[in-house]
Amino acid sequence: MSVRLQDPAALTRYREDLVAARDPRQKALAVCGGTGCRALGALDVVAALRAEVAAHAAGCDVGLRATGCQGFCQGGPMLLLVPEGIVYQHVGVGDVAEIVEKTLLGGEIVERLLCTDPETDLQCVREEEIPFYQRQQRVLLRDNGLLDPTSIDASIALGGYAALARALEMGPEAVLHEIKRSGLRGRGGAGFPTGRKWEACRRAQGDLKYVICNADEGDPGAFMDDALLEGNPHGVLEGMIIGAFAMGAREGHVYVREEYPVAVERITRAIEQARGLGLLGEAILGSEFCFDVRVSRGGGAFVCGEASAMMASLEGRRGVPRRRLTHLSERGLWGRPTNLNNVETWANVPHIVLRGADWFSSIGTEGSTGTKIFSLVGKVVRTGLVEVPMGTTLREIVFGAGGGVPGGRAFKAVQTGGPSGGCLPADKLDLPVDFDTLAAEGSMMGSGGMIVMDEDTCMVDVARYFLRFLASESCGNCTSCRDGLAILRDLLGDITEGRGTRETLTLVEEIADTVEATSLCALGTSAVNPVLSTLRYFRDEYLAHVDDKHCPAGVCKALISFTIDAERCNGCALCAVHCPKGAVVGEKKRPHAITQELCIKCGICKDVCRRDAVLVH
Amino acid sequence: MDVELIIDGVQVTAPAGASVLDVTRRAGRDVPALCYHEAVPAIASCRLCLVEIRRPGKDRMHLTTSCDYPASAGLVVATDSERIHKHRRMNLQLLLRRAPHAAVLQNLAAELGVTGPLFAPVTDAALPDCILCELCVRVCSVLGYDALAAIGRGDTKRVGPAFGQKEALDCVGCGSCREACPTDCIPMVDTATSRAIWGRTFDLVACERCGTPLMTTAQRAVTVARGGLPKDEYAQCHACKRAALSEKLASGMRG
Repeated sequence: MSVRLQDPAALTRYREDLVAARDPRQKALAVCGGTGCRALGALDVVAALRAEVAAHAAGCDVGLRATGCQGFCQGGPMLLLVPEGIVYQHVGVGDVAEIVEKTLLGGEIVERLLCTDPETDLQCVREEEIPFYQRQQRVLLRDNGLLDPTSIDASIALGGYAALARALEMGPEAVLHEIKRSGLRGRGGAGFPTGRKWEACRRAQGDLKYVICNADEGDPGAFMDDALLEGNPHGVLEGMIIGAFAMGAREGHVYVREEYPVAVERITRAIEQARGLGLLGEAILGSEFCFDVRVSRGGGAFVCGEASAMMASLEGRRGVPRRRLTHLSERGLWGRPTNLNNVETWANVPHIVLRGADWFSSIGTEGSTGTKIFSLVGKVVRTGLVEVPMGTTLREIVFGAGGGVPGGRAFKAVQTGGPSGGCLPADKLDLPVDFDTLAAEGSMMGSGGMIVMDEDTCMVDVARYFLRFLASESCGNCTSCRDGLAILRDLLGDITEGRGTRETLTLVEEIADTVEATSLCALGTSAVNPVLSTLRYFRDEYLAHVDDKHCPAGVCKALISFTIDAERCNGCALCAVHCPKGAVVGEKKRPHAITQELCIKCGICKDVCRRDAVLVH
Repeated sequence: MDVELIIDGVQVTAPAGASVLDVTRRAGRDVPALCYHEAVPAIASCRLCLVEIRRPGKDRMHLTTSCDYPASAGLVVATDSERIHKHRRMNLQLLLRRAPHAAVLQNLAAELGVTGPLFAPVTDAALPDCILCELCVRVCSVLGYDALAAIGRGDTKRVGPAFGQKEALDCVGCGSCREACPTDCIPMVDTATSRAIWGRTFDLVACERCGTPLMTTAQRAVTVARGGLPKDEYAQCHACKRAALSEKLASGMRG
């Protein structure tokens, strides 16, 4: 890139030129290129659209881009048509010709591809009509559908780096003051006030200071940070540059997990582009402020999301947590003052600088300001990324945006806060989601993972699942965490397999107590939350497993058996055809039966039966 | 600089920054620790050296490990409470599962009143009776060899030749790891002329006077090169060197 922006005014002119060169009526096809939509073939759709537009709409000026995650993963692959704002869902390669012919050229709607509001049964044409989006306040995700994440010009045209220019005018102290006043708290899980952290780093003595972006998102089912880095990398980078300016840092790192190849590629490209325009590197926007960022890829260890383990990993050592005797703001990376914030925290910064602390703190609650992105997954009608004001109730998120539990099943619990969070039952649904309330209830907000469970979910099995994850992700340093979690995992296995007794439960509680009390880092001390919270709220399920050798949800294979209800069965033999073990026997058109000795309890017979004749005991 | 702190109600003086474990032990308190050695950085792995501490201005005692906690002015330390013993016993049980044959653990179990193991022993460990304290790794590292490392994570973590190799490529066969190992679990086989350890076999240098094995040729080469020592520095064992010197002096006096 040949242009180097010499001062804030040059950035403004650059933006004005970009905006002037763009026709606001220009049509564009924005295919969601988030991880979920990619997996469903979004890139094939982009290729097909490109070919179709070239063949049939060559005269028509159409922009085509794969954006970052647009959030509505349930509808993937998603297609957004601008400027009309039409949203199509489940778009396949076979739909492309019709979309180009009817909608792009003819201005007609392809009704088959629209979303339907399940409550009103009405079809939704535009994003703002879709209930999933209606319940949200999208600040950070606002631009994800509009931006081409590979283009800095697209970002600047939408106001990117305006906050940086503003920050340079304000000066570091004023920026720091604004962040403090906004009440922004760290989005990575701990919820520490960002302004106070920045202030400590700014005041710390040091020849060189570092800022780090924690993009080592590892919670199963969580993808907020991935969506931000993939969809709006310049927004995150701009936040880091502003933070570095406020703290006097010269060097930054983005620690991103290797399993996010697209995020790595996008942030790396964004850094190069920003450097090219003089928004990063020496004399940023002609000022005396110099700052550069490099990308470090993590090897996939969950524990490297922990600050001291991340410092070790960045320094080239094994990613193991160590006791921190001083704050990172005094002695962090290479022993120098360091500020570590999560992706989502950094992404909030430009918005606060541009719109002010008063605007930011008007969103959310008194103690937890702003919005928070949750990744809503599990047994819920609409999965995806939900951005709502802090303090929104669990009910509003799960039932409002998420549309509740599918298939008429009853809601049982929602797991918040990632693997070390806790499971909250139905009577906690009206709790406001903020840092302090969830912690008081034995769970935590964490980085924003939210897994919905219905009546067919066994809570003992859920606890075992998370224990298995954490036991394998423990760094292995502390005896209590390494071996305590492994034994807890095995004991929960005993319970789900019918070998548990009341003594097993007592032992589980004793071990959990020691793991929590004597492990070094937060991975260990919070790892027992899934067990303790399910024991607290779903003790009767544990008791059913140990006393009656019964799994109420019908999940634990060792404790269940499948039979066929002779009155309902019409002998269609669908189950017999699908049974992998040949365990279903019976004459055609006569009730069938399951040979228990052969049955491996895979549940396929139940899934394929059209008459609900397969019963689980 | 020295600081004053209180250990089990008794005021003691200690250098600021010394580990609370060292200070309590020097004050005559018996705090068990298996992964600690003054010569290497503490990693607080075994979780047995638990104490309760209270910093000035705080009102609650806080359970923590003492080996990686520095002494500071006004610190209040308690080494004997039911809370400490309860968790120490559980962590000892977890260690006993890994090292059922280790005498050091059995003695501790007897001392702490742990009767019988709570858990079935691990049978598929890469290194039987290893408690993963990484003393071998750390000792090897401060000696400048870095031939060993912790590998993997979770309960399948193990220690062994760096990068999971079959042989410890940078090992010189000094045996310091074995010396430091609290459970004595590192196999090392010496014959009159060779030493086998960590998948390698080394030639032993014998004292030219008495024939006692001194060290491996590899260790001698590295030590002589690092220290810029004379090539014949390790030709004889200490005893023979001393004997030779006395003989020389004696003959000089006589002469």
